Amino acid sequence: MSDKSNQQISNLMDGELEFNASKFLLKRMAADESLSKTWENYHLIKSCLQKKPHEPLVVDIASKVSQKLQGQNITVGKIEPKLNRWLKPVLGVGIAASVAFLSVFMLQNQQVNTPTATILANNAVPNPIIKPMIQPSLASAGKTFVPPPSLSRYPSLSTKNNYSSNQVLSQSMGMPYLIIINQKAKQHNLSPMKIKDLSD
Amino acid sequence: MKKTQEKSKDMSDKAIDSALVKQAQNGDIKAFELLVQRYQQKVGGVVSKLIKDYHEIQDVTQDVFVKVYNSLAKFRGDSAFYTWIYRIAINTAKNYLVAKSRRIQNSDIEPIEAENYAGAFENQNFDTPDAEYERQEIEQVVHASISELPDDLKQAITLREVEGMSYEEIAQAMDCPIGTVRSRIFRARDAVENALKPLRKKEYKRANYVR
Repeated sequence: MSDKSNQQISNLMDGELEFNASKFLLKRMAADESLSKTWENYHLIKSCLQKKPHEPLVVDIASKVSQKLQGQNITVGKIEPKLNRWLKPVLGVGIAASVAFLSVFMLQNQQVNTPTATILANNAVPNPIIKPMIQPSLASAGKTFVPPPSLSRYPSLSTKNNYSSNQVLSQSMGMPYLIIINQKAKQHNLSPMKIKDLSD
Repeated sequence: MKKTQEKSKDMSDKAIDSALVKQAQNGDIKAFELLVQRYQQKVGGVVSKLIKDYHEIQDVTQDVFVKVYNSLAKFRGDSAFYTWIYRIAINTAKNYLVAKSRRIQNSDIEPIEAENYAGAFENQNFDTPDAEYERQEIEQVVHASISELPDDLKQAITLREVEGMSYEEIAQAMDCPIGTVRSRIFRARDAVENALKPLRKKEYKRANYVR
């Protein structure tokens, strides 16, 4: 058995062993000390015969290297394929872009569907602070629009929402809507909570 | 044609390397040891072209294989394994020489202190004169036992190892079947190994003792 294995090792070294038998033998050698010793000795003989006269004979490097590696405690892991390495950041950028696109799209949708600013414009009390900011032509063009409940996810909130604006208003004003409410509240000496009553 | 088909079923050198590399990449250090045993002499030979001191050659050769193992994950098999190791060996030997020359330039140690300076021997693994003697002995035993082999075995192993001929070429040269060549080469190796065994056991014990 051992003789047969040794002959197989000899054939394997010279690339003369059948493929499947070679694979099997390589695994056995990694597990069997006596077989790996034979492999080492056969290679040592090869080295002695092949080395040039000025070259030194290099012996027993394997055990020392193995000792060093065990001291380092390194685990060799396969590196991910190159594609995966590139794919990760590209996917990240893709996701970020799609999130940005979705948020812009949703914002535009919301602006079209929420008319509270038009309602405000119709019921507006002349206000010296707001007046220069709203273009009267655009404000008067606004029509009262009550959204069907199905368009809004929270109809109870959207009909009473004083913080949303319509498209016309948002185009004509670069000012945050909250400030306008505060100005209105100031003028009528109302707390922000009572604005709803004012617009009604 | 039939012979070519038979030949293609055998495992080539490249296939042997890639099988062992695969095993080593999966964390099998023993498989990596088999690769080291396969290439230690070649790497040592490459290193010895740049470095002349035997102990330094041993150290750098070890470093080469440690580097090879550490970057084994990067080896994708585009080139032959030996070509890849060869590049690492050359670079490691060159870097060693650069670091050594820098160390000598930066060294401000008095010659008298140098003997006790531990840093000068950092990472070096000095073998005893016994070990050096044993290596010479190994070479002598190998050559002596080959010269004592029967002619047909001697011729077969010499044509294979020294001339680098394939089994097919040896069969043609010796006018015998390939199976006979296979058997003769194995018997020659086996005989030399038997002569080496006592020496190797001694060396193995010494190596373990030193550790």
